[in-house]
Amino acid sequence: MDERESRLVEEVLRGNSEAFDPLVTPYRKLLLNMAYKLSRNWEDAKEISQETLLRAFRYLRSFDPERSFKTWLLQILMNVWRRSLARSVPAEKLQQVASPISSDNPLESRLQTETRSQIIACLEELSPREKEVFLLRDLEELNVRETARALGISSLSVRVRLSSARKKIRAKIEKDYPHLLESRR
Amino acid sequence: MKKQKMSGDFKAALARLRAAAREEERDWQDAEWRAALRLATSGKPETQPAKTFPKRRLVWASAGAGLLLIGLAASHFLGLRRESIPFLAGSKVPLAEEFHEDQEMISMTLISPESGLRIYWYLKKNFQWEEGE
Repeated sequence: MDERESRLVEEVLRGNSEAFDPLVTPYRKLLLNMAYKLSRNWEDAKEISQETLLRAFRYLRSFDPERSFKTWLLQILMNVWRRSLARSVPAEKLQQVASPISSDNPLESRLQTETRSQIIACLEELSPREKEVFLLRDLEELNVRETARALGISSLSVRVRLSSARKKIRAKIEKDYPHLLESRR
Repeated sequence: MKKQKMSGDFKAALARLRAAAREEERDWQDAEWRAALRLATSGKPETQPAKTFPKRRLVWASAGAGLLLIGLAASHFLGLRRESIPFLAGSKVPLAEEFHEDQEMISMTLISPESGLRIYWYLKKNFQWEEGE
């Protein structure tokens, strides 16, 4: 963790809750979008992010300053998502992301919708555990160690789940979206 | 050679998925973010670090302790002797019965650290089962 974050954490723990804002604001977009990639629903994503912030503030004392604050936040977010997953599986919400989005350009709008559908279709091939690893490692581009820490699992487990996830994604792409494999010329 | 090409193609496909995922990213509206922060900081940080009690370890430890106690009790009641157990034949480890030769009863107390529940076990050496009339 950098010195700035370390200082802000100390300030919050001393009772200055204002310092929590600059501590987490650099990660606000990351939290929201990671929650969205997991839940595929913006309302759920906001709720998950909100709960993550709440827990981060409440349990800030248990944060180990030797570790990355970003990874710690992602770890909380993953736990919140797992809990929300256990509570309900909103299958119908998955349809929302395939709905057209507003755009001035109809072709662009259609392409965006198609791409979204492809992402969803690929992610739907994965189990929740594979999805977590794939999102953190291949989409967020965290390294294996950071991914392992964020998920509270070993590096070996990350590699095993990632390998399994990639196999499934590759099979899906080869079967349904071969154009994604074509080289750009 | 073919595998390498596939791998390269797959990397490119992943990069496209990643780019597509980035394209659909959004940010908080400032008012929403402020509200989220206000709600998050409305309480106070816990004064103690969060309890991360390893439940699975507790279960294994309890199971292990239980098995050990049952084993000790069984050896006590069945009157097992060192000579009758092949892997203990040459060992100096005392059997349950050898700890207190003249002890008539063994008692054990299991305490749950979470609920404080106490379970008392009494193993009587000369226990006789008697059925009431």
